[in-house]
Formats: sequence, structure tokens, C-alpha cells
Amino acid sequence: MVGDVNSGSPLIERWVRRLTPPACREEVLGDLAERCASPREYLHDAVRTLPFVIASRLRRTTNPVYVLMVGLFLWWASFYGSFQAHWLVATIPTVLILAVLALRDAWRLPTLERQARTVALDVTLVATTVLLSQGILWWRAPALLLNRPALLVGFPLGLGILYFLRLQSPTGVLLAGRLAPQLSLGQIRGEIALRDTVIRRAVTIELGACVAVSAIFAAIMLWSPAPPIIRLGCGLTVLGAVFVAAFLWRFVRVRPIPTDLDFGETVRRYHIELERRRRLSRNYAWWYLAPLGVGTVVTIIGSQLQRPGGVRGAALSALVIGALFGLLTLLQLVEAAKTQKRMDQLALVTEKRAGESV
Amino acid sequence: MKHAPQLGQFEQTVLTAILRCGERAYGVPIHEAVEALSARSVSPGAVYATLDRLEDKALINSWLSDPTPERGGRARRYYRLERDGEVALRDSLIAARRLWEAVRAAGRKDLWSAMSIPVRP
Repeated sequence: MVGDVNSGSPLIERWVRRLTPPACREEVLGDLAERCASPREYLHDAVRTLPFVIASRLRRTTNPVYVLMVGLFLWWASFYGSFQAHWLVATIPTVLILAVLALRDAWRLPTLERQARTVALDVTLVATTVLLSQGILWWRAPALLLNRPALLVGFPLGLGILYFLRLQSPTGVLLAGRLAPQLSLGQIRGEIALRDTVIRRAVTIELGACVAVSAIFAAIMLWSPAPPIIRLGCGLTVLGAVFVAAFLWRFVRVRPIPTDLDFGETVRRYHIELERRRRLSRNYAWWYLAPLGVGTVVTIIGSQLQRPGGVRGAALSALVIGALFGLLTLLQLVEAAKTQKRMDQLALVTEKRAGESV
Repeated sequence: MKHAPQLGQFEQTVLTAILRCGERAYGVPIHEAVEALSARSVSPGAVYATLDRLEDKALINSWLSDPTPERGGRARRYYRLERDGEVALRDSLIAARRLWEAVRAAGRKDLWSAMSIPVRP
């Protein structure tokens, strides 16, 4: 059935357009316009369509392991979940943040354009949501308010880390969709360029973080009156950060593929680069987590043990750090599997020449 | 023989609908074909969600057409079965046939005679 009628109401159409995630907006709105003969029918069909479409988009853009890792980090390191009066105190803002970010991801197109601005908007929205929720809690349930250190120190620091985390791993940009069986040289170069941009940015952020961590922990080790165990942990963290920075510089940096190569050679070099990335992802625990983890564990658990009754805190910290590291490793293993899949697809790709259709 | 992922009943219906629509396999005709095949009213959203899932499993492939005026200048997303989709559908049909033959062999005519109910065009 092909009709020539749309919703008949610009207001309804505008709202349905806004509520439809951009990635599927074109076909969903087109089908609605084709299927419906009156505003009532349009609205009825839109109500039966949108919840499914939104849920499907959320499923496609949400990585459960990543969400769990960010949630755990926020709950424990940003909102000091283990130091709040009730576990719900840190859970409320954490869940709100995860929900805002999941919705932002579902409404985003997989592109790197104006990425820094988009991520800044994500973080601003997150901050606004948490502050609004704190306002409502202050009015309705003051017992569930975050304590002052969490609100004034942990939360702003968490927002900063969240900004860089999201800048580093833009949702749905890398290895988006399947490779077509036939690709032009321009398309394959486009994919390589996108990948190089994302990895270059991620490595730069990691290097910056290593320098910052080294400086902060070296300062604590050298000039703070902290107990010896904490100073030892700081020293180990500095060593770990220096090792990771050197490793990133030597092995993880982008190795550009020359742009004057023909299709076959470009695909071959891209395949080699993907294999290198796959191995780096698989060995992530050894070159990243282990060197940085030892010092971090000694520092955090050491500082917990200095507090009265700190054994419980130290045990909880060890548990959370273990879980965070486990999730990070799992994320990298998933990434390695995705890269392997891309390599398998790449092996079947043939060249599409100008004017040729698939 | 290559084995593809197992399909749910609704996934089988959507794959069959795509096959039935042939060159015209986009949202509206697929939804109509799904309703005809399942002989009940189906939410268009459920069809979109299943199409997404089938695409993620690499059983179907999709692409956007040029915008058309009868759709308010919007494009259509066309779908086509991939080789794995055909294999998955074939496996499902073999399984369904095996069940049907088992019921027939059990002598329950009241059950297997239901196969003669015509499908809505």
C-alpha cells in the first residue's frame, strides 16, 4: 500500500521526529508517512513503533560491560559509595548518569564530527541531572544526599575523567557495521583514516594521563608526610605510568598506511595493522593493567588500612579494583574479537571500481 | 553443511517476509507480509527491532534508497537476505518439517490437519 499522506499535523510529526533516534529516523518516519492516512492513525502507529525502535537502538549502542565498568567507577571513586551513609546515596546519581549517557548514545550518529563539543555537552547534561536530583533529594529525602567530599571533590573529578573516557572511546564509531563485500579504495582509506584518528586521540589522552599520574604521585612520594606504605605505592605507580607511557609511545602509536598504495596493498597493510591491534587488545592486562595496577592497589589499600577499622574498607577496595580490572580486560577481549571479525570480513573484500554497482 | 544461528519464531516470520517481498523488501511491505504470515496484528516497532537484530547477526543486509515524495521526501531502507540468513531459514524449515512429520507419525490427525489452513494472501 503506497499512499501520499503524512501525519497531517506538523506538531505530531515534529514530536515523533524528535523521539526517533537519528540513526533510524529516515526509514521510520518515511514508513509512518507512507502507512498512515490520518493524524490519528499516524499517532497510533507512532505509539506502537517508537518504544521498540528506541529499545532496539539502546541495545545496539549500549555496551553492557562498559556501562558496568563506568558505573562501578562512578559509584566507588566518584561518589565514594563505600563511605556514604547508605548504598543508595551513591547509587542514585550513578544510575542517573548511566541513563543519561545511554540515551545520548542512542540519539547520536556514529561520527567524529565536533566530538569534543558533543562530549562536553554529555558531561554538562550529566552534571545538570545529578545536581537537579540532589536538589530534589534535598527537598524530599535529605538522608539520601551525597556528602560534601563526594559532591565537591569526587564528583567534579569524576566528570573530568568521564569527559576523557568518552573522548577516548566514541560510541559506535570504530568498526561500525559490516564491511560491504565490495569497497572502493576511497572507502577503505576512509575507514583507516577514521580508525587512525580515534586511536591517535586515545593514545594522546593516555600519554597525558600517564604524565599527570606520574607528576601527582611523584609529588606525593617526595614531599608529602604520608606513611611509608602509601609512598611506596606512589613510587610503584610512577614507575608503572612511565612504563605504560614508553610502551604506548613505542608500540601503540598509529603506524600510518601510505595513501599512495593500490587497493590490494592497502588492504594487506590494514590487515597487518588490525592484527597488531588485536594482539595489543588481547595482551592489555600485561602491558597496561599490571604495571599501573600494582602501585594503585598498594596506595589505595595502604591508605584504607591507615583509617580506624580500615580492614573492611581495604577488602572492599580490593574487590572493586579487581572487578574494575576484570571488566577492563573483558572489554579489551571483546574488542579483540571484534577486530578479528573485521579481519575476517576484510579477507573477503574485493575492489569496487568507479561506476560499478554492488 | 553450514549451520547458522537458531532463529526464534518471529525471526523466521520476518526473514520469510523479506523473502516474500523480494525487490520491494522495505518497512511497510515487510510489516504487511509479517501480519499476513502470522495471521495477527503485529506492531511495526516489533518488526523494526527484529530487523535490527537480524542485521546484527549478519543474516540480512540493508541499504537506504533515494528519498521519495510519497514518503514526505524520506528514503526507504531496503533489506535482503544474506547467505547466512538463507541457511538459518532453511534450518528452521527443516526443523519445522521434522516436527510436523513426528506429529503425523503419532497419528494425531486433529493436529496435523491444521496444516491445511490457508495463509492470508
